[in-house]
Amino acid sequence: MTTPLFDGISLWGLLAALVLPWLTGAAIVGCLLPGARPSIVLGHGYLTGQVAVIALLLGWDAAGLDLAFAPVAGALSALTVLLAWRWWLRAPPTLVSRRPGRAAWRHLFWLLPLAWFLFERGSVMLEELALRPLYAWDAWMNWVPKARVWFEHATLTPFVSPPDWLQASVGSDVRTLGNWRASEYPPGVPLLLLWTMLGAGTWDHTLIYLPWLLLPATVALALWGHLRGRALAPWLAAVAAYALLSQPLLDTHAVLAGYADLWLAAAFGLGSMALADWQRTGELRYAILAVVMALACLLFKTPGLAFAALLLGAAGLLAWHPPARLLRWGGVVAAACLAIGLAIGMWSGFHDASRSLATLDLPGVLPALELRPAPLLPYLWESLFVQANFHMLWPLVVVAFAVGLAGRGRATFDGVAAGLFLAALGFLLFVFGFTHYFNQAENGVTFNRTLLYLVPLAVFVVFEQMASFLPHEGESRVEER
Amino acid sequence: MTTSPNRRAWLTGPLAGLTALGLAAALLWLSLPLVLVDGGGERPSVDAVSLGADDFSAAPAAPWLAAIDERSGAAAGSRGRMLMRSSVSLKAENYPQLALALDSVAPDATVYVFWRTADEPEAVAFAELAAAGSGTNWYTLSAEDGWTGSIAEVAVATRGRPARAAPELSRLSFHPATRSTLVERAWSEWTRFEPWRMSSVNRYPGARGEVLVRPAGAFTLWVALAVAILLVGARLLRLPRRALAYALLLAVLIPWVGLDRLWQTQLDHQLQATRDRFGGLTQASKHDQEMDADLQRYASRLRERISGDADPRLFILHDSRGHNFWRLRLQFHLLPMNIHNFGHRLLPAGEMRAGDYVLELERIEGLRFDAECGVLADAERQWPAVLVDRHPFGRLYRLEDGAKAPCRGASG
Repeated sequence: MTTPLFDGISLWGLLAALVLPWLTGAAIVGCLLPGARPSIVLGHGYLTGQVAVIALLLGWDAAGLDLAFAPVAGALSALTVLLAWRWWLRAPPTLVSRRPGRAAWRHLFWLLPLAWFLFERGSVMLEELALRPLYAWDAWMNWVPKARVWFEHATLTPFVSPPDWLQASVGSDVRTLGNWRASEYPPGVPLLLLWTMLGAGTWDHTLIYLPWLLLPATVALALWGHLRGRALAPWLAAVAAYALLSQPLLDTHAVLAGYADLWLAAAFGLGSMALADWQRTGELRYAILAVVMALACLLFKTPGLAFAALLLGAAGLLAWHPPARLLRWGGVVAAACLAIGLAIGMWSGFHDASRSLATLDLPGVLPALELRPAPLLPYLWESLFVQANFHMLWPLVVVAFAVGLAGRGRATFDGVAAGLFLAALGFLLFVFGFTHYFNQAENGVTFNRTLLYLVPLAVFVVFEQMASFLPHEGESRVEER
Repeated sequence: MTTSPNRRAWLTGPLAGLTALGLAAALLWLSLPLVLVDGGGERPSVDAVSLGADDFSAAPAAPWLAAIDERSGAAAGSRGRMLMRSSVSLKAENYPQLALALDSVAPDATVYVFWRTADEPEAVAFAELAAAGSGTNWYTLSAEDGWTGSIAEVAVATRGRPARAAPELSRLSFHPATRSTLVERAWSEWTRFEPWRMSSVNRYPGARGEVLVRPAGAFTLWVALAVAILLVGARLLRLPRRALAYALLLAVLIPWVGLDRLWQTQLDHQLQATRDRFGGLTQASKHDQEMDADLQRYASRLRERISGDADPRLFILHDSRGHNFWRLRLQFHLLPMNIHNFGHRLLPAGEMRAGDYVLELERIEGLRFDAECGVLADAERQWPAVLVDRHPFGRLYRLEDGAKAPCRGASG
């Protein structure tokens, strides 16, 4: 007898659909970064594995093969075994640690509060996700419909814009969604859904959305690894993980699953952390990981194009090594322009929403931007400091940069992660403060969700900034001696 | 025995952080009425006035609700309805805060509190409690022009779609603007359960509706004060840099954890509500508990009506603009059917074809079907069609071959 929850679903298939891409991704990251911390391998491995699944499904369909779980899973397993074997040959992973010493037990003591938090929050979120049928609006409007059609057809039936659908000839099997632009959105999220649907053997089950719950946990794992790589004390890395996983808007996206924003946030955050480690270690392999994450940004959402460009641009700058002075002045000028523009937007003479200064036509599926300064600042204040979307993240960001500036001066902005964070924030402020997308800040529909893209990176940057003032691993022991 | 600088930072940093948070909290406590109450200053010391359910009696609503119609300029049809009224004796200026405890309030109901004064017993004044619902709802009465003089009578009513059960009034109380009242109000508003909404993925305000102060806003102020105290104190006391870093981190993290406990409480309440609704059910039976269960049954009915055709096309017409929940949900429930879900008008030949289905979801003004002639028409176009299904949700038509000549009477 099965419990009602597991009725009508293949549990083994679902489990395989969840675990297999993770293993594949871990093997890819392991091959790429032999000797990397297990937390980095598993943390980055999860999202890398999802990119691998998306690529495999696209390739499978392009080859004219039917989309069925067993053969695709077989191909993924073979790839995983090959990669794992290669990884083993290059650097056998040491997942089984040595016997824990006194220091490890002390770390464990500090980690207990985090473990309790993970249990308390995780169990509530898991049960909520498992009980509630698909609820989130964009999920059933934009992302799940494609996956469901593909699941039923066992092929990637094309989705086209509504005008193209109306002009389609008799007999051509094309589809269109009820949201005007959504048919042309990137395929990443529907393909991830298709994969778990294929594994579970059904399109209609709450447990299909488990990847949304796993994603923040794996990002926290990677965050832990990157901060520990900077020799940050374990208790501080644990605080960082808590700071990430406790945020209400992030939790909401994990539990009311089906939106694409969390995936873009994870890809941009992990890509930035990979670049930060490239800058720190000089290991070019981290840049490859960042490129994979840039690709993920492109696959998940249309705005991902901008975030992929930011990652690739930052990688280009790291490779080029331009004069630091040039970067600093560039940043200062951009920030000054932005601040002046936001201040001008507060002037009532510019409030006429019907008037645009110019229209910026963007190529491809990107929308045209009507340029007009807008009074964004009150909405920004409300979102960052009055609503509880991100708990105290933004006050902490302000404190971290203030501490950094007071203690390290200009060097505060030398890190690629800090630069990327400020550039991405500047990009969002431009979009919402200088274009017709201001209405999205006014009506509160997408503004906070786009700020979510910055959250994993923001947490990393805060603790990276604090790291120069707070204790590093081994430091206290040296002093105790 | 000497202490290492790191050890000292471990001690002095958190101590400084906690002290700064304590001082900041004390400052906020002292300035509370000044910050939060219109007009400022603490009122004369009076006790709260509390009315229980037994103090109220039913009364005709019309004389009271007329005040709303007068202000809005529209009659809302209150004849025959009842509300709850009670006599009371209090001086309005001493009681700027109101707390109203209700149960079983319909989600779309609007709650009103009315009052009459001893000086003008015929005049009715009222306050609309925006976003009020089941539980304790607070309101700042001093913001209302009519809240003056000696209050002699109060009444409570709701308006909106009738709920299965009438709202139950548990308690109505009037409070002076003391610090403890404001803290009680803030705590009540911050801990009140807000169930998931479609907008929950867009924002988490921290407290439902119009509240005295949002928790994150209050905590940001607390953090800002504590950080300012720390920066001044660190300079005066020559606090080492590392100790200051510890102190600053703690000054943010403790309020963070406080906010997170409020969030965890919300999640716990939500999970209980979700268990009550979906717990112990199979995936299929969960759909019967969803808010659009009727629409899902209608989608099944439509699928049966259309099932004879191989991959038909369906045009959903609905008289709405933008993203309408019902038309989009219906499309989702009808998948994997091939659906065009825009507009409310018939389309020209070439875009619509014989064999396509057209669903008129809810009545659309100007769209008419002449059964005798077999013509579906709107202001611009007409199509030969047959009515396949009629249901309170909508009407389903199948477009027929254009060669069939339509009747004369079906034009327009």
